[in-house]
Amino acid sequence: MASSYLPILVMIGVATAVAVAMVVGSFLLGPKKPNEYKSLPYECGIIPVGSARERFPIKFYLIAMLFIVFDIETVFLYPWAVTYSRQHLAMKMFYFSEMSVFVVILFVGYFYILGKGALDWDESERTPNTDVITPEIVAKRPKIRFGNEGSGPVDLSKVPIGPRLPVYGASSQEEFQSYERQNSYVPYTRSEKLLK
Amino acid sequence: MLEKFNHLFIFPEYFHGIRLPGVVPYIAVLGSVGFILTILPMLIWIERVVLALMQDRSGPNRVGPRGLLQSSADALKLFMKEDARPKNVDVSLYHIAPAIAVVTSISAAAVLPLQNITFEHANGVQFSVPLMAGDVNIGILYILAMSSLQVYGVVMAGWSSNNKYSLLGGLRASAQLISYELSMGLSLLCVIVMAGSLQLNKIVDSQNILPFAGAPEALRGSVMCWYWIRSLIVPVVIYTIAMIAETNRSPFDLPEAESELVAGFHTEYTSMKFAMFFTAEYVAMLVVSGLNAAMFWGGPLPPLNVVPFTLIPGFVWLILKIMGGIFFYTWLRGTLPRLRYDALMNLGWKKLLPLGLVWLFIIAGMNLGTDLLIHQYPGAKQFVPQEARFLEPEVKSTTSSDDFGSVDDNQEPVQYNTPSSGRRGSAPHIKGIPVSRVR
Amino acid sequence: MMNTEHSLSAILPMQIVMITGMLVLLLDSCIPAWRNAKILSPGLSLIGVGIAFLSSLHILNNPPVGKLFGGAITADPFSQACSIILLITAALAILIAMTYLENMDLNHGEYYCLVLFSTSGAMIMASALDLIVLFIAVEILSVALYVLAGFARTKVRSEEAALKYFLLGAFAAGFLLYGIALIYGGSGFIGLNPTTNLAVIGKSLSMISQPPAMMIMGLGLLLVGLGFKAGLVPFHMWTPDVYEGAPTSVTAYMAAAAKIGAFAAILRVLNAFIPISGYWLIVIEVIAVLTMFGGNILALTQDNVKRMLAYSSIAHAGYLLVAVAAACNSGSKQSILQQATAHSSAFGAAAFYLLSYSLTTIGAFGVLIWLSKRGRDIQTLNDLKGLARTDPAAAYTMLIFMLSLGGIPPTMGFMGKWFIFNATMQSGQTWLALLLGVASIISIYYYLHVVWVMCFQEPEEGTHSVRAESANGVQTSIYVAVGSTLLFGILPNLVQPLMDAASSLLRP
Repeated sequence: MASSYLPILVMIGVATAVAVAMVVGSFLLGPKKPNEYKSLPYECGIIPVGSARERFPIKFYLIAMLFIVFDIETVFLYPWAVTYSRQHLAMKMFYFSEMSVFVVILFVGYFYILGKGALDWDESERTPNTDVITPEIVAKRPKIRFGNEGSGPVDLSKVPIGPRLPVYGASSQEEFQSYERQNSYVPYTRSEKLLK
Repeated sequence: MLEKFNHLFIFPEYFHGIRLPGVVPYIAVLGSVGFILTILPMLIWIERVVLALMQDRSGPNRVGPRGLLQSSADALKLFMKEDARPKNVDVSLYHIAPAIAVVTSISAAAVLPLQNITFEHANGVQFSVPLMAGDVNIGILYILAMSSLQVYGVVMAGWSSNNKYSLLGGLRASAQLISYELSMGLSLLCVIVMAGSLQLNKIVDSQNILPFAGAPEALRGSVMCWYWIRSLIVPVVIYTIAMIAETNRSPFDLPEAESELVAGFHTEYTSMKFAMFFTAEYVAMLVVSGLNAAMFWGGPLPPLNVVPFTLIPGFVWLILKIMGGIFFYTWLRGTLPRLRYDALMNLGWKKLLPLGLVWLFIIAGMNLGTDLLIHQYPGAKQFVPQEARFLEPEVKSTTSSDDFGSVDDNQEPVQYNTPSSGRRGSAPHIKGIPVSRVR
Repeated sequence: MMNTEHSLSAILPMQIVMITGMLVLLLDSCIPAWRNAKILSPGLSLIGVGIAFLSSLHILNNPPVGKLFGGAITADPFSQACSIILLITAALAILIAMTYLENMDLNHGEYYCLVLFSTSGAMIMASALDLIVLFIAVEILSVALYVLAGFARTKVRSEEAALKYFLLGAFAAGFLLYGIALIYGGSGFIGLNPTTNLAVIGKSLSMISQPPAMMIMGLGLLLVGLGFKAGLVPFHMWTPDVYEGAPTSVTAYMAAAAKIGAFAAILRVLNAFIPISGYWLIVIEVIAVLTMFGGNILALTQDNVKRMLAYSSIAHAGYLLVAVAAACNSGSKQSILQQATAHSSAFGAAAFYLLSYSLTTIGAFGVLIWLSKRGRDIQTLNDLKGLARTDPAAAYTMLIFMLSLGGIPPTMGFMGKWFIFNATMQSGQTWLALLLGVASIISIYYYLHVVWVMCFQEPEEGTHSVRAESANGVQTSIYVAVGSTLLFGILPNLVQPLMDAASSLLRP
């Protein structure tokens, strides 16, 4: 009934009032001292470079399109779900089989996009571009590793104990240089080890 | 012996000529908005204290006892701060984005069933009216619609700010929200298939049943009749994961990942506009936890239908369940590291979505299987949850008209041929059969 | 429940084609493309098409009784005849695509499933008795064809073709839908519950004297939408660009299947509106004349063979529309018996012509595909110079297809034109028949021009001579097309069952 929606409208009105009160309150109470630097976009204290409204990955469009498809399928399921449990046995079997057909077709599409890699955000998992198809391209590529992912626990006993290795950054480099001047230390690198 | 106190909570239908059941929704509006706004500083305090306990540090301890007033002081401080607006923003979108976030998240709370209030008609017949702002027959669709509209606030904020972090945060947030909305809808569908209604108080009522025929009355509407177990646990897991992702909370807080995106879509917001996004996030947490409580955890029903529990009003139980959800949020935040973006998308699209769809059909098949079993062996009716469809004599029409908007009989008080037990949170029409309607 | 199963078994051919399409789709996503697209996907598609063909034949011999899906779909002999022609077309299109796609680096399994989906759409178009079902069928056909037109996604021409076809097609779909809406509204004025069911509308139209204006308008808009799909003249602008830009195998399929589906739908829709043919027959006749002459005259100056064949397909749509006009002519002073004879012979002629047109068109494009080498597409007349010396087999098959398209005996094209001419004379539209003859005489020029280029010109210096590579799929389909063009051209009686089936579509 329409009248039962009235309290919801009142609720939305109250929520809007709260939002307006928040904005107006801070507008009235807060100071207003704008200056040039305050109005720059925040980029970690650096002067911003270029516009922020740049092109962004096409993945997001793909996700949006797939969402539209699957959301509409989900919306189809709602009326079915509401009326399903109160059906007679024969009718319920019919409902079940009809919706099974629908969902099977949905799953065909789902497995297609899954197989085509439309849902792979990580490029290394994707099957390669099949426009030019050679076995070399199809050969499995190594998975990209992120950081020390999958490397397991570090065995601290194997970490060499010695003079501190250089750390990057201005102050630490200065520190290292002074240390080097004192001890005439030559960093121990892997390539030199291999040469020996 | 404490049963006699039940009568204190039964109200007359007319009070000085005012029909009280008609006032109930407006009480719910005031109550829920007031509750949300007063509990907000508390929520932030709870989160900070729990995090501090988990991380073995002090947490807020300066303003008020145990830092209890810290968040209120913060809110007051934010009111006093300058509302700085960077140049080159898209002005109208920039201003409207936080308002959209707040309005949608608060008004989504309108359809949460707080409890049932029992009234007594002049002829002595008792009936109950749900204490909720909008007792509408599309409750779940409304709540899903409102939570989808929150995407607009995020996207508008991200796009209009003219900041690279904001744009990236807005994009990530929108992709994440729409991805998890699917699995959220599917897990709710599992419950809708069992309850046969989109109306939240009817869904709560359908959990207020006996687990099997001849069970003691103490088990009516108890923890084992709620949908978290009747839908075989998987939907509640899917829903809980999706609800955390929907509210952009840790471990799914990529849109505002501090270490990479500063503050994500609200980087450029200061003062109360920033506080509005903050408010919206916490209110959204309350609402999705409330939906979780109503759909899977019995809403205002007490865990056992025995005296010390039943004396506590239904809305207190609901708030306790919501607070349980909030604690869960904080627990996860204190425990789990942030997901990588591709792992987030894989979880949503490759695991939760097919699992939800398959589970929906397991639930539907279970429903069908129960019917088949009862058709073969009518005695089996004794051992299944005593759903209303087994108790009502026969459902005549294949589709009922009250599902999608034409007639809504739940709005009018219904007379029943047996008086209600007087227990709050119980729906009498489960026990009795409606005989007439007072228009 | 019984009724549903009965209805489902009557649309079995479409279901088979669609399920095969889905299987191909799944196969394509499961197995790496370079392994399966060569043989697995086309093989599976051919098997599916074959089974659908058999079940279609079965339904043709045992037509189902009663209403299917509440009268929304029919499985009458006409629809099965169209389905059979469509399935032959689909099989030939799958065969010619096999090597071509590999040569052009387009070897994706989606090609086959899109072909199957659009075939099923065209089959539903032929069997739709309800305009809403017709609309859905048009969309199933078209959406797959839009994607197919842009299948060579790295080529700009192909992208352009797809976008052009999609935008104009969406526009035409709007016309179609408006027309359906107006017919739905208009049917309320003739004492019916508003309906889009053609059988009901046809029956009640025959009982009234004055049709509502809304219905005439709706029919007009419907014809715009279907005319776009068939490429009739005022709505033909997309045809040459799309046919030229799309990959050749897609062009071959599109030229045949879209036309069969569209003409099946036009025949069925107009058949229902015969009782009010006084209002629209002249429009059909004028469009037929415009289409024949427009297509033929524009084709005269083309030096791109694909473009020339595109214009020639417009002209063939004109010839087919003459058959439609003959089938629907009830205004002349003839006896009911004569009218009925003309009606059925015109339907038979249309079916025969659709078969001959699709065989020859797919054959002609097939020869171009046969000649195209890895990465090189044969498109212009220059590419064909001196073909008779370098590759006589390809040249002589092309010769036969050109003769058939031009309507010269002893080919199927001649018999088709003869049937249409005959039916038009029977229905009393002598002037239309004469104009058809004139138009085909014009067309002979450019068809024989191709033959002249192939046989009497020296191969150009500097370009490597064109030679067909051996390719089993294309060769099979070309030889099938050549064989049947000649066989049915000499013995048209072999197609008689098909023509009988098509001509059994009763007047309302």
